[in-house]
Amino acid sequence: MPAVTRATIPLLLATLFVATGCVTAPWVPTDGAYTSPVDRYAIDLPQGWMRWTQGEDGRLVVTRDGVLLQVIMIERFRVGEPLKHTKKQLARGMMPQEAAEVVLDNFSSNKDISGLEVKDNRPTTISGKPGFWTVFTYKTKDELKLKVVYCGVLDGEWFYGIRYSAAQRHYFDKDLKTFETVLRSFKLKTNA
Amino acid sequence: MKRPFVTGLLGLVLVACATSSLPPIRDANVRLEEDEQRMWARVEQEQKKFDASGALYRDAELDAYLTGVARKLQPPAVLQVIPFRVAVVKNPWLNAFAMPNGALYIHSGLLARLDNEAQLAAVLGHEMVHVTHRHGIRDFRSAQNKTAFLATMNVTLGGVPVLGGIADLVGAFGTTAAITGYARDQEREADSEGLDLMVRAGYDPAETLKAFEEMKKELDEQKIKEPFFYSSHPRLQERIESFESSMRTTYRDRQGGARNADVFLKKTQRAVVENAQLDLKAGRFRTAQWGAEKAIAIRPNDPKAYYILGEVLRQKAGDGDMQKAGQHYQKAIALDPAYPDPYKGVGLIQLKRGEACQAKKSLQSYLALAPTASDRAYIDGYIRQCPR
Repeated sequence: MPAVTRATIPLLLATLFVATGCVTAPWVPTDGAYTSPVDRYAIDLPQGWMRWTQGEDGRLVVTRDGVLLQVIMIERFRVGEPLKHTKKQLARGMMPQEAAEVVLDNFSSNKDISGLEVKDNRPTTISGKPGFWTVFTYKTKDELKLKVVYCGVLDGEWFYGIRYSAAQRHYFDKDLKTFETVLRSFKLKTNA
Repeated sequence: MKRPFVTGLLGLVLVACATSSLPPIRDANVRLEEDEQRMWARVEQEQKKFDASGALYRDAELDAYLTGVARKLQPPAVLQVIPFRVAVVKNPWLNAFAMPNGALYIHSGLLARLDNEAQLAAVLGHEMVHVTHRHGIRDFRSAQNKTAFLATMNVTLGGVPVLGGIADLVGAFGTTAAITGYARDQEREADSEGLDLMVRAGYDPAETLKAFEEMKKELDEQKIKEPFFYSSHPRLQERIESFESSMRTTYRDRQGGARNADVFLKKTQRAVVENAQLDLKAGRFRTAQWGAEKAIAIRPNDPKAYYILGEVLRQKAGDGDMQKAGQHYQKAIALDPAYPDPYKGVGLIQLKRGEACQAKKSLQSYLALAPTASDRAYIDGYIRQCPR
């Protein structure tokens, strides 16, 4: 039986993801630099993970072992757009703390999760702009405890959310450094 | 020859189907049926997980009070079989539900909107009827019978019947139906029998109607369409009309009764405040403001309620809101000078006005009282905006 090499793992995973019917859109192996065709940002993705661009808004989803275990997501939406779980809205000119509060309230108002606890909430710089860094935990309906880093930055009329979410036990710590590297590489194309 | 075989098989399955009509539990002599016992055991496990999930509002005194009201509605013999107890779910939406084993849950959103014990008894009475009348197991059996029928069809048509896992469904089914609502006739039964329970316990039945009408107003104002305790099957208006009819006929000679508003409002005041905070997070500013004002009306010296009023206005940021928000924060500080959050509110308003050095003082007070605040890094940054 031939040995499975590191290079074949992404291919096997891609096959597995599609074969198990987990997704309908194609997952592709990550290969370093990624430029969003619609969302005006560039980022370096970790080697050996799988990438999927979800939906019309082009949300980027990246995982190595499966989205329930660890996932990096990048989403962009227009300020003033309704959020899913809170009637609060992001607005132009909000201070990072105010934007973080809206994002956290949107999470904590989600009826499908419970026990949300904010562990950290502080200002940071994302692509040279003032943004926020929040860390929180919650339980899903299936009792899975997830830990999330959610970072956000406002750029004119757009909000960018960069998220790392993983099972708190074992998985979160494992890929936190990877996420930090990804976050540092995030560049808004308007800055270029 | 095939037709008699199919008919015979179908008949056999239908005969074997468990009956979904069971007598209500009205005394201590009722023995739970085998599948019902399994359902209770399964539900108990789900209940333990739910209780430990962080979804509950923890207030032992309130739980004891609510459980006491529930237990007043049932004769001791029933309580020997069903150990009713009540807990509050941290959820601003209007709902209440009962597990088939007698665990009753009321959302903080619904609790906050009730005015007195009689209205609470109406809600709890309705939920208790689902338990005493064994709606959970009856629903399950009805679904199981349909599954058995479909399985027969599968056999006769050459398909592969998938019956494995039905036993696992017992607990989940009982719980899901309890939360999302039972069949229309079971909801009707719960309405009429629940009303009877509260009347027998000495409560004023007219309060049921008031609660329903208030609820309808709320749902109309909020344009809420999703199913709730008071708007699930049958529809709210139909249920109001049915109550009105009962009041005109069955209870026409019944005037007045206990309301116990004072004790109810005092016991639930903290939950009202907590719920106002949930409404605030959900961006339902008007409801949050209403909740905070209700809490203040019950307990005029509640600093947290004043703080929430301040937050509603600061976050809404309409004309003149900031000034009013500042007044509410100051009131909260006056009531409890050791309460950190209102100082932050004052500081953030001052920052917005460009008064960085005045904000510095307020924000320093906040950090002095909450040195491990999760947003400390922001606050330190704001403080540094004042050069002095």
